[in-house]
Amino acid sequence: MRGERRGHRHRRRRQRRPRGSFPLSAAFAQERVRLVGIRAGRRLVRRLADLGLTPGTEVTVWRASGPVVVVLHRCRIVLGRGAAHAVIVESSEEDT
Amino acid sequence: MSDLTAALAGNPNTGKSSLFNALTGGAQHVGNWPGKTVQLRRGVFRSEGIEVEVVDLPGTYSLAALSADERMAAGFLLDEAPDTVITVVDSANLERNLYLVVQIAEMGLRQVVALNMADVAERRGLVFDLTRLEEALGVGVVLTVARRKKGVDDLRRLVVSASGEPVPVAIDYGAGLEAAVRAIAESIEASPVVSAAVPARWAAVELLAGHESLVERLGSLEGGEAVLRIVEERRGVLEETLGEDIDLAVADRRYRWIHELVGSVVVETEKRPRDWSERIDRVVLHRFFGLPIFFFTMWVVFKLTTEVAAAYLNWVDVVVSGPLSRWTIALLGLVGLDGTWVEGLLVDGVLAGVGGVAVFIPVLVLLYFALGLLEDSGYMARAAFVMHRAMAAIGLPGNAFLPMLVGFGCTVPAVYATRTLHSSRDRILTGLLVPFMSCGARLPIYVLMASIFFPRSLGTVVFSMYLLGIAVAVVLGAILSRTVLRQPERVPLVMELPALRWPDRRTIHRFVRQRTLVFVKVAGTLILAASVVVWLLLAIPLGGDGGFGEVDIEDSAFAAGSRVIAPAFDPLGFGAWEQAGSLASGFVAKEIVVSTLSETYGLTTAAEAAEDQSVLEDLGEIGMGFLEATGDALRAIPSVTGIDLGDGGERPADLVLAVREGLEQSSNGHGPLAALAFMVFVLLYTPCVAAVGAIRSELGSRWMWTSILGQTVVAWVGAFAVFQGGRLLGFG
Repeated sequence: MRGERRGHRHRRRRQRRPRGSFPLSAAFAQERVRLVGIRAGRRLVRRLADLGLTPGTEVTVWRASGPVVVVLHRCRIVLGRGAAHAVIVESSEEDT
Repeated sequence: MSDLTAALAGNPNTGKSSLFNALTGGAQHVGNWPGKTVQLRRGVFRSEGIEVEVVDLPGTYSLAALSADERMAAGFLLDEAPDTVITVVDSANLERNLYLVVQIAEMGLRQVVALNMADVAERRGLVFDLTRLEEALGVGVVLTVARRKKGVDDLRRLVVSASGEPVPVAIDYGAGLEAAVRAIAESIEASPVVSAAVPARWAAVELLAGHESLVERLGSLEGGEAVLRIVEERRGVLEETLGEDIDLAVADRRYRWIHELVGSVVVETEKRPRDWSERIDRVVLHRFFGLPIFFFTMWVVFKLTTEVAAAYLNWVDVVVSGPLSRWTIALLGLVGLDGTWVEGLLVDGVLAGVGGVAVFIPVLVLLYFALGLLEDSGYMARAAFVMHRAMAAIGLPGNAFLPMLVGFGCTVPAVYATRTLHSSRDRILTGLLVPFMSCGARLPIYVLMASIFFPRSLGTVVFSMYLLGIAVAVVLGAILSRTVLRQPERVPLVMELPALRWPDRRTIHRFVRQRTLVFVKVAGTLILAASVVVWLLLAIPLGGDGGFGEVDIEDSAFAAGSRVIAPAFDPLGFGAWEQAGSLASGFVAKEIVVSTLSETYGLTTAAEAAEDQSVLEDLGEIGMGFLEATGDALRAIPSVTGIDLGDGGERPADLVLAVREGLEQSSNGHGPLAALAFMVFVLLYTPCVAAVGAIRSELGSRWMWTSILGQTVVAWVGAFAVFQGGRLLGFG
C-alpha cells in the first residue's frame, strides 16, 4: 500500500522535472542519484568533497523536503536548501 | 618531558574523545597551543616503560579543511611533527574515514589507526583484513571499542613499539596530474628550507589542489615563492586540460583509491540488521513533529536547570547560611574571635562566597547531565538541523539555540552550554549574546520596580524586558556576525548526521565531573574573591565613628566608591549613590541588588535569630533538607508551567517608599522613566561575576573583558535612550 502510494507521487512529479541533470533539491525521497557537478564556491565544493561527495558519487536521497538528507556509505549527510540547489545530479535509476 | 608525543586525529563523531579518555585515563589538562588561541587537550600514558604525551586535535574530515578549528589539525602536524599520529576511524564507515588516514599517510607521518566502534561494525557483519590494510597504508591498525576500553592496551603498545622510517603512501593521480605533482615536488626538494618544512610529494598535491593555509605557509618561507610560481603555472595549464576543478580531481582520485582498498579489505558477511537510528530519525526529523519534539526537549533541559535545580539550590543556601555559619561562629568562639571583624570576614565574606560558588553546582551538574545525554546520543546534531533556518538569521548554527534558552534560567550554565558548538567563532558569538537573555535573578528587580511604578501593567512591563533582551541579542548578533566575527564566507549547511546511539553512562559521568570541577576552579575563585572584596569595601570606614568591620554603610568605602561612580548614571536618571551602589553590587550577583538597595536606604533587614542547635541537630537538618530537596526536585520534574512572576504585593512598605522617593529625586520627578531605565540597565549589563568567570573559563580573558566592557556600554546607551528619549517624547 505505502509503496504504491509513494510510487504514484514519484511518477507524477517526475513528469514535471526536465530530463537529464537537475539540482539535488529537486530529487525525490528514496531516489538514487549520481552527482555530476557542484555549482558553488570553493568552500562548499571542498566541504562536500571532504565528506565524500565528489562528482560521480552515487547517493540515495533519504529526505527531499526542507534540508535534503542523502545516504552515502551508510552515513547520512544533511545539505541545507542552499547547498542542495548547488549540487547537480542525475537520476541513476533511469539508465538501468 | 615525555619520551614520545602522539597527536590524536580523526573525523568528528568517531569516538575520538572516548578514545582519548580511555588512552590517558583521568590525567589530562587543557592547555593553549603556544601562539594559538585554540585550546588543545593533552594527556599522558605509559606503555612498556615509555611515557607518551597525547594531544587531542580538533575533529576534522580532511587536512585541507577550511574552518579555523579544522585547519589547526594540519598546522599542528606540520609544526610540531609528532612522533606518531593516532587516527581514530569509525570502522563501520571506512570509506569516508580513510580519506583523512590517506592524507596523513601521504604526509609520511608515522601513523597508528584505531578502527574504533568495532562492536558496531561486528554487529553489521563487517570483517576486516587488518594485515592487508596495514600493508596498503604503511600503518599499524588496531580494532578498538573506546567506550569499553577494548583494544586500548594494544593501541598503546603499537604507539610505543613501531620503529623505522615510515614510507609515504603514493597514490597514482593519473597522467595529467602526476606530471605537475612531480614538477612541483622537484622544485620543493630544490629548496632546502621548503623541503625541511613540508613533505615534498604531499605538499605538491595539496598546493596543486589549492590548499590555502599551505600556500600561506610557503609564501613566508625562503624559496617558497619559486615553488608557488611553478604551482601557479601548472594550475593554469591543468585547469584547461583537466575539464574539472583540480581539488575535485584530487579528492576523486583519493576516494577511488580508497574505494578499491576498502573493497579488498572489508568483507560483508551477512545482511545488516534494520537501522533503528534511521527509524527514530524518521520521527525526530519529521517535517511536522520535528520542531515540537525539539522544543519539548529544550523545555525539559530548561526546567532541569531552573526548577529542579532550584530545590537543591535552596538546600545549599540553607546549609551555608545556617549550620556552616553557626559552626564557624562556634569555632571562632573557642579562640575568642566571635563577634569581631574576623567573624564578619569569614561568615559574610568567605562563607558567603563559598555559598555563591556552591549554589551553582547543582545547576551545572544537572545541565551537564542533560547536555551529556543530548550530545552523546547524537540528538544535538538533530537540533542543529531542526533550528538551522531560524538561527541562521543571527549568524549562528541551530544548536546555539540551547545555550540561549538556558540563559533565561541562568547565564552561568548557558555560557558553559556553548561548549556543544563546534567552531570557536560560534562559541564566542553565542557566549557574548547569552548574557542578554534575561536570567532568573534579574526578575525580582523588574518585579520590584514595575510593581512600584507600573502596578497596573506589571506583567507587560516585565515581559517586555525579556523581549528587549532578545531584540538586543538579535541586533548585536547580526552586527557582530557581519563585522568582527564574520564568517569568512557564508557556507550553506552541510553536515554529517551521526548515528543515534544509547548514551554511555561513563562518558556522561566523566563529562559532568570534569566540567563541574572546571567551574569550581576557574569561576569559583573569581566569585570568592569578589565576595571578599565587597565585604572589605563594606567594612572599611571612611569617616563616621565606626571601626573596621562595624561601620555604617553610608560611611564605608563601598559608599565612597558608589559616590564616585554615581555621576555616570546621572544622565540615566538614577545617579544617587544608593542606586549606583546597588548596581555595583549587582555585578557580584543580581540576587543582592534589592537587598543592597534596602541596606543603603538604611532599612535593616531583620537579623536572623541565633538558634541554639547542637551539631547533631544541624547534621540532621542538613540530611533532612537534602531529602526534602530531592522530593521537591522530583515533584518539579513533571511541572511544566510558565515563568513565575512571583507576587507583586508582598514588599516591605518602607522599601517601596524609599525606592520610589529615591528615583523621583534622582530623576527630577521622572520616576517611572528612571525606573524603566534602571530595569533596562539591569537587563543589559554584566549579569554577575559568576557569568564573568564562566566566560573567562570558556572563551578566555580577552573575550571576558570584551563582554564586560561591551555590555556596560550597551546598557548605558540603552538606559540613556530610554530615559532621555522618554523625556524628549514627553513621557513620565
